[in-house]
Amino acid sequence: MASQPVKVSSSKMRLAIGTLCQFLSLSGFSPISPETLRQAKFNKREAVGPLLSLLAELIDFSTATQCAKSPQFNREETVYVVHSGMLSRHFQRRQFYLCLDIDNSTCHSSRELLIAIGWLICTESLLKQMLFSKETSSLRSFPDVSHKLQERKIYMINTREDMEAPSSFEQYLNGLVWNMGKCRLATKQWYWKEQEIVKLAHKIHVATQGVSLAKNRVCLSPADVTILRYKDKLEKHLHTVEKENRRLQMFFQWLEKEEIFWQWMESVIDAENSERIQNEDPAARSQVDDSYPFDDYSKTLADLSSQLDTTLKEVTQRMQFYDKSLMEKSVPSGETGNPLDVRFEFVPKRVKDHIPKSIVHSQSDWSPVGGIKDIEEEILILSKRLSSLEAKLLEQRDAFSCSCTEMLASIDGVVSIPPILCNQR
Amino acid sequence: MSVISLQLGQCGNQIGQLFFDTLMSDLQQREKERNSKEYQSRCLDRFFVSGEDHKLEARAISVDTEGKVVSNVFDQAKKTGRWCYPSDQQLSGRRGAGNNWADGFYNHGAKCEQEVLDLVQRELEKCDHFGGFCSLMSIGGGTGSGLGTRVTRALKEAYPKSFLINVLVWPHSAGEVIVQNYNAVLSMAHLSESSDALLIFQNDDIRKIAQTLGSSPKVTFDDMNRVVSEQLVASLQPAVSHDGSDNLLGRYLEHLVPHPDYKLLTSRFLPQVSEAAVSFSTFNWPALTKRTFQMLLTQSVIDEGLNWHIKPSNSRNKTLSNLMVIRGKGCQSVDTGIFSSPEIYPSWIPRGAGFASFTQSLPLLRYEKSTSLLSNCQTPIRALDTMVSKAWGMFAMRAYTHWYTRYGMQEEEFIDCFAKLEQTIGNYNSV
Repeated sequence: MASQPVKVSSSKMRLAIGTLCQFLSLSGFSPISPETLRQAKFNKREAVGPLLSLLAELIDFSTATQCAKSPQFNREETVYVVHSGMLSRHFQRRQFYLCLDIDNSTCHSSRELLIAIGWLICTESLLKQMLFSKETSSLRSFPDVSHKLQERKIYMINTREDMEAPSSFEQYLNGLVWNMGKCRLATKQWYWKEQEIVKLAHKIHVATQGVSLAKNRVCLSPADVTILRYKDKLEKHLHTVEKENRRLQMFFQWLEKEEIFWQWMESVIDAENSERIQNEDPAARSQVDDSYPFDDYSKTLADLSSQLDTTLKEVTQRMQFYDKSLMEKSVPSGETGNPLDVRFEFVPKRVKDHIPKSIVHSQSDWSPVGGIKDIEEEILILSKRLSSLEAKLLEQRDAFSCSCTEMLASIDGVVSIPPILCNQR
Repeated sequence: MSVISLQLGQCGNQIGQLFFDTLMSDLQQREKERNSKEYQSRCLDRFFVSGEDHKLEARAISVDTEGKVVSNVFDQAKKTGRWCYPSDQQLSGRRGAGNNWADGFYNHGAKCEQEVLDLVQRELEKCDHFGGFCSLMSIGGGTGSGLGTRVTRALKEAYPKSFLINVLVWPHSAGEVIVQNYNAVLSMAHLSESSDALLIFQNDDIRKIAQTLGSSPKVTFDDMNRVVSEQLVASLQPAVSHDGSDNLLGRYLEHLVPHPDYKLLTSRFLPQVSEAAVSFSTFNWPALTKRTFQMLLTQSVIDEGLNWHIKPSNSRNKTLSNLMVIRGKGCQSVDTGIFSSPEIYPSWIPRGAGFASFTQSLPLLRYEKSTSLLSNCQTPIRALDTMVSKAWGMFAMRAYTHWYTRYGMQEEEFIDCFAKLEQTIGNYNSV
């Protein structure tokens, strides 16, 4: 007896969905509410926007960059990224691609987006990757300088946009050399910054030898020293650690509630199926049942089968008759088959003159000589002669078959039928 | 960021000593002000190091072919009681270079090159964050120009990733040394390859500024050196940009000289008032920035007789980049929009990328408010062209070339140097 699925209470489902949403939000992805996922189950239009952005970010995360929210896609790019990303991951749900409208940069089904997100999270173990990825962790760098990088990036983009179109090749070249010079000098600065970091870290290690805040270290790190020296940085660091702690708690909660979430996802697919069935036209279904000529086809098949059997029988009989007649023709009645009594039959288009005479046979050319004694001697002589004739015959047969083969090679429409030899010796 | 200064030759050593002295004077005046402790600590870390007996030692190396100037400079520093030179960071000879570039380059330079590098290495090891080298020298004489050029080239080869700026003092146009133009041409040509940037102070202009600042019409070399050292202090003392980053030497060079064909820098400093007149003067930011901008448009470094009819549209001074350091109360609110005017920059520089500014709320020396503008522009080209023309005139007659060839220099080297400088002049004129 098959076991029935355990019915889960709605509150537990809500908790499971909420855990997932919180974990994604704490990992740096676009914040998404459990209500959005519920709306998506019922294919509400309001859920399309947030789910589309989330799916694009998840796809971007799972590629080599492993960086949450690093590129800010516009609408067109989002749909394209989603389409190409799921395609490259062999997501084979046809309805998903049908509802993605690349031309209008939108999607017509939030439910399909939800199913795609669930599939992606499941197949690529995204949540586990997020947990261990440095890019999604709040503690990735201390102090956090990502805002400075972002400012620099905006400056570079604005600079590029502000450049006027060069009026000559010389100006274009000058602009390129100018840009390259900036990169060269910035690289030099970076080199000396790295040198400074190493020197200062070494100084800190030497000065704080024997004092440590971590088990695997025997001195303080530059981050530890910064936190201890500056109170405001300590508070900020505490806040970051708390956030990371909450994220870990969410992940552990997710591990407990994961099964409930996937049960809910199954209900999403069931909802889709029931909707599809409801939307189908019942009259069209019955038309297919009544009008389809199954009986006629089966009758035809049965007729064809019996015809085939009859034809096979006839062919078999004819084959047997043909074989028999062939056998009778080759061996005259009342006589046993003599291995020496061979006859080559030709189906000629023209008679050849150069058939060796020795091939033509005749039994009547040979007759016995004398009385009983003589008969015994005669039998001896005849048997000797018989054996020599047999040998000669064999030789001539071989020679004839060779010459026949050579001859027939140049004749069209002539087939050589070799003698039917009885294996009765 | 720590800057290592190389004082090369008589002029370089004298300017260097005054530079450190001016720094210390400024820091002393700031001691009483609020929020100055961090500023002082950054300034001291940049130019000084705590030596034996906790005395402040300048991050400097003194080199001269004659011992008299170096020992003089060391004594003067010690006399102040506030700072001194490290005793083992000097190199001097017995005989000068005789105002001969070839003597300084091929003779003295070859002999002391390795020793100078050893001194530099020793100084470098004291730095946590090395910002770059700043060489001080004149190019009219023999030691500063010849030996200075050799040392610069050696530094570039030994430390290719380091930043290197040369502060050059150009001789008077009607100078005393007959071969000053040869020396200048040879130095400029070699330095334009080795150095990252050449900050030029022309003696003619500095003399006029010194006359304005001084109480008497007679101007000494000391007065002129003081003008140069004040302008250097105004540019190199710590300041911050709008995003909070320091005015490191690397940032300066990245902004001012990214294009390797354009390395000549000019300094403009305001206000230019004597010590006596400061008490009776009031300064406001719009006036200071406007005057600085007009000085830029008119290719002037002196705040007198400015031609106010010249506008950005009809200015003959195209500029590739400008960097302004603003010091004084209310510096964050200074409007520097006029310096971003696209008409003064070539079209291949993106709009807004040609100007950068750094601010420091603490005043500088006796000035409540001051602006210091470093420009990569066409200002020095006229003087350079004159110098090259005069040198070529002499070379065409092969006048005094034997002074150089006897030290192993070939005439082709002269021609190469002329060609390089013609190329530099052509590049700047085509901007």
